[in-house]
Amino acid sequence: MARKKSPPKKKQAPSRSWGSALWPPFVVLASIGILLATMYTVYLDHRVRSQFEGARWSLPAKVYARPMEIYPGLRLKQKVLVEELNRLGYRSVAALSGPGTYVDSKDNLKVITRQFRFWDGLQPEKQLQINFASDRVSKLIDLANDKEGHITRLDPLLIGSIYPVKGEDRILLRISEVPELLIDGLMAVEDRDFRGHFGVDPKSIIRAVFVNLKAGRVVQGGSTLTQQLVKNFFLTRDRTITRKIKEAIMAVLLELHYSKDEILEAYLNEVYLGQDGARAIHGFGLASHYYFNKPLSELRVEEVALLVGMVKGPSFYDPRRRLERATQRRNTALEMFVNEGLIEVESLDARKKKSLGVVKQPPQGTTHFPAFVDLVRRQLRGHYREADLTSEGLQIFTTLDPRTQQEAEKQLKTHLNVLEKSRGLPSGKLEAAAVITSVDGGEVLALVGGRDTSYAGFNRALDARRPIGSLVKPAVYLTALSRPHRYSLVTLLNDEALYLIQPNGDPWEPKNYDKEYHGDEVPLYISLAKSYNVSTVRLGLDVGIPSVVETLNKLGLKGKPMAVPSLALGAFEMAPLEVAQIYNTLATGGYYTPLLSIREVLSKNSEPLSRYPLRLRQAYDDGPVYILNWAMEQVMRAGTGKSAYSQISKDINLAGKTGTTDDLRDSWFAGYSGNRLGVVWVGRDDNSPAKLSGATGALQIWSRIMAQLELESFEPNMPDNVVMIPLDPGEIEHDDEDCDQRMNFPFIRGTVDEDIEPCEEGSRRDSKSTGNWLLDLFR
Amino acid sequence: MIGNILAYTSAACLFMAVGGCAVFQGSISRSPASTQPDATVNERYDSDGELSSGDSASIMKSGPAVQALINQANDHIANEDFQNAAVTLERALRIESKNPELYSRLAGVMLLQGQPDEAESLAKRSNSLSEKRPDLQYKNWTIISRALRSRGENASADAAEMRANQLKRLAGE
Repeated sequence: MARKKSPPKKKQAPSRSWGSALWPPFVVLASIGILLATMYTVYLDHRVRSQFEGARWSLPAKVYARPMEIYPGLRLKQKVLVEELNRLGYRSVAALSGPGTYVDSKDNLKVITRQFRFWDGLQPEKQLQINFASDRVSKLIDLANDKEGHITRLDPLLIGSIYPVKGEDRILLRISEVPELLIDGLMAVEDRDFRGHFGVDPKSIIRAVFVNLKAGRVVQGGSTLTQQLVKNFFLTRDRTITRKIKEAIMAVLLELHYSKDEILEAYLNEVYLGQDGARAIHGFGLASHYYFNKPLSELRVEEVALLVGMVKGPSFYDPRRRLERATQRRNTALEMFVNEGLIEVESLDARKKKSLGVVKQPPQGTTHFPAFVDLVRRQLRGHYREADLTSEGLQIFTTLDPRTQQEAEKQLKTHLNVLEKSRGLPSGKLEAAAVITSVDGGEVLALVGGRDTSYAGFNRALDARRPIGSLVKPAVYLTALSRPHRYSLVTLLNDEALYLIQPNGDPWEPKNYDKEYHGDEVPLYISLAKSYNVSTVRLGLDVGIPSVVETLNKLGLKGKPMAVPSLALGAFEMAPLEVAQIYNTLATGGYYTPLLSIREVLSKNSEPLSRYPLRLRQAYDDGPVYILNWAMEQVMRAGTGKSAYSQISKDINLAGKTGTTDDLRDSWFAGYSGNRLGVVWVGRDDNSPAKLSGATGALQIWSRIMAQLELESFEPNMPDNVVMIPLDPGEIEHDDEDCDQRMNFPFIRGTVDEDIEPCEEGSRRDSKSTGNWLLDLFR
Repeated sequence: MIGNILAYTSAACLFMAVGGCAVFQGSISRSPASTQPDATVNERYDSDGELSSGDSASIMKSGPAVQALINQANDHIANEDFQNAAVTLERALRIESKNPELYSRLAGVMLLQGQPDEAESLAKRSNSLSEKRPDLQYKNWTIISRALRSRGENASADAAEMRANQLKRLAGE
């Protein structure tokens, strides 16, 4: 393009002084140029330093499951321990070889645990032998000194990260934590003179230019690790000459201010190594988990070589999609390792033949358990800002028990299918939710938000608020039983037809599930065990509906449902987790413990930040709760819950209650053993009839989940103010002649004639065998 | 305020192993508070030899894992690290969730941490699980009485203390 140069200015000003002649324009321009370049360099310098020294990376919060505790006496099948170790990425080996390996033999397992920093300090790696006998841990031996140990815990499973919708993820490493082979190997492959150059490496640039000219295209970059870091850290990805210059300047500046180790550490954490959907995999720490499901320190030589080789092009050499290419690249890296003397040449051929060792399914970045992590996130709200959760690298230690969670998911999914098939229901329409807690301590061990457990959407366990039906009845009966001079388990209730005008003017005639009335002499505990509706409404009206609401609030219900007669039949809505909260208070004998999903939060450097300690308060008199629990055991032994015992051993006492709503829309079950509480809801998202009662739907799933857990029998301590009285359940009166015909009923002391010897001192377990006569009696 | 701390200490000290308690007592006795009237109460509980024997008898009921954690918790208490003492006792409670001993110890730690409400609740929970354990119930009622007194509920505190003393006699029998 022809362009007329503007006439030189000096010719326009011939009469200027000598001084101006001494400052020819090109000098001025050059000076300005130097000044600008200096200013620009100062600006870049500022940028390099402030960005490098500030929070270098935004780190998503890491969410951990509970650590598994191992101690002699623990009920634990060897197979279950092996499953846990596999989840954690421990490798089964022939002989122990470093942390994260185990040897599984008959009746014992040897393992080297990984070190881990818990809230209460560092637990170093340990070499242990765990002996098993009759599905229990019988011995725990520290192989370092051959001493018997009392207790140890494994490192906790990382169950997910909390990070922004589209974002980078990484596991930060200190350079001291990175295996030497990886560092030396990285230099061998990417930047042989890293320790010697000053940020840019003229030799390698010249070599690259030469190679590229010869090839006629860019085949080799001359970038040092420092330049690569600058590129990833500060600059865009485009390949322009100005960007190249900027990169070189910044690389030199970086080297001026920081040591080689600092630069290397930043590189190791920054380097991009893959893409998992919207999540970018950064740094070798995370890449090691993403590709091999184990920490960097446990990688084998060939695995290190693969990661180092992949730096050149993580998607081009993606080992999951480009197996052959990735293998070739790994082998090239291995050859470079040999050339640099990092590994022996003799081993090369054998190493080249090894498989890549990449795990098929990458450990889920977000989480395998989105419903549970959703609960964690909500419980953290108010304590932490969303921005802190996604950027500060917090470590969140939760209460999730991975095995309980997996069993809950599996049983729920499997049995929903079975229910749909066996009952001729349309396939895939039923939905369900489940909550499992630890009873004491109020820890949420598992939470299932729907039958698609990997879907992070509608969380039914927290948000599906449905009428609870008969699940409310324990609150009605507890209200009555806390007036011991008026009500006991054997108080006769009236189950005859009832006609009411509701506060809104509508008539209401409650019906029983079996469409029959059961007369005016139904013992209170039978009415609960058989879940009779009419007698329950009468009882609710008698004690006062507002009193029932008060009971619900004491047990842990946060809202105030309308105090109308239909409340006695559960015509108000609750989410499964809220139901779990109320039933948990019953399961502990009247002690309210807020349900928690988090134990502790630590900073990224493992400094304790906040703790969610055990909190409890007595919410209800223990006497009436004890008596109610006795009746809820009858629900399981002889009432609507008895089919649970087709799945669960009869030696385990259970207490619980079914719930069914109008037109069989919602099917509920809530119940507990001594150590586990479960709430299950089954229904449809469109709220059309599920065609299942509490017993035919939710209970079936509940029992199958519970049957997979290590259950302790429900054996509440009898409070001082309770006395057992032997009664003939047929007569509902004292009969001290024949113990076989009698059964011990709990009463509040001072409200009954106590002059009868109990049949079995201190025992209330003879109720176990009562199923048959109860059935006969109140058919 | 200092009186309260002393009260917490004296009650909570009932629950420590002898060694741990001695260390803790050492640090307390250096404080000027030991000259205050409360000190008599302090001495009364501290010099109780019978109690420590009752204590060790009940410890026998905990499994070895829990016992190991109780020892760890005592070490934390000896180092005045009450937070980690609580963490360790909660860890033990996950193993033996109905062990009244653990609730009682945790109640003691809450008292040391200046959380009388939590201490009272945990002591009551311990009582609800310690049928036929007057030794433990005595400790729990002592804690309850301390907690009540620190809230200024002196009449209830007196009643609780009476109950504690009755149980102490019962435990001695």
